Amino acid sequence: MTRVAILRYPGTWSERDFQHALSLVPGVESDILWHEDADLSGYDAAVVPGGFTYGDYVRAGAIAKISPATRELRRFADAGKLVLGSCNGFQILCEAGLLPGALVRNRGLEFRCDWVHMRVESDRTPWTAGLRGAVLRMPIAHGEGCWVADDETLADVESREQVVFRYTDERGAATLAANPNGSLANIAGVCNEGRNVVGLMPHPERCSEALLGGTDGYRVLANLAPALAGTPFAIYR
Amino acid sequence: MAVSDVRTGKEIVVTFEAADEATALDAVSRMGRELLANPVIEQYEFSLNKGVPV
Repeated sequence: MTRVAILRYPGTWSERDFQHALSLVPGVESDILWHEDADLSGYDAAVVPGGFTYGDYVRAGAIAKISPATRELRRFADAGKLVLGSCNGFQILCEAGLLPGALVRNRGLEFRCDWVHMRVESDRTPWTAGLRGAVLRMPIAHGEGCWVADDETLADVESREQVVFRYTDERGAATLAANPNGSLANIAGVCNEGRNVVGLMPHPERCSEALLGGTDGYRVLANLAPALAGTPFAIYR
Repeated sequence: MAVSDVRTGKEIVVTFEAADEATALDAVSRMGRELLANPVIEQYEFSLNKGVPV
């Protein structure tokens, strides 16, 4: 069994969605851990779900980064364990310095609740193995999803293949119109240099079964068990 | 009148007690570095105003 810890901070709202989505993946079991006493020993992977932790005060994800759970998460990531952050979870990982860049107010200043397409730019992460070039359709729901970084960081992230997901149209073209929030270079998700920590603004947990309008999230989450078992990627298409 | 520049920003006022100025400086510096500002997207500066002990 692959054991996944789902972190819950005050204001996290997508932890049960993640637990449900992960329950659909064979060989994976998950627990929701409260941030104050989150102990990640014994877990193979950790998920930081979306929400509005601490009411987004100071900046989205800022206060969560000084929570005990984030200290524990940093140790976990440093040990090479797998971490996935979605939406506010992505913001927390960037704030904590576990991922490059930062997420600021959407360029259009509006909260965007919509379906978007994004192309998998790198299959060299445990969550995207076998998906390179795939155009995935996932929901977004955020007001601060515009990924920014200085020129040097952007160049590094591109050259080291740390861009994992890029907003595109449904045919996989990274156009201006396909960018929902003004992110630099249409970047929807990145990984760290160690490639074990991945963050993205869209919500894979909300598109993991046909009943909810899409299954592309499952294609990402289903990579978990085989990634940790050392076997190739899931073949769910 | 010609406007040459406009900037907006955020002001955070924190009131606290400290044993001496060096301790206060260190505390404020840590607050900025560890929580109040994100150097990836923000620049910040701070000043200390000594008040009357409560």
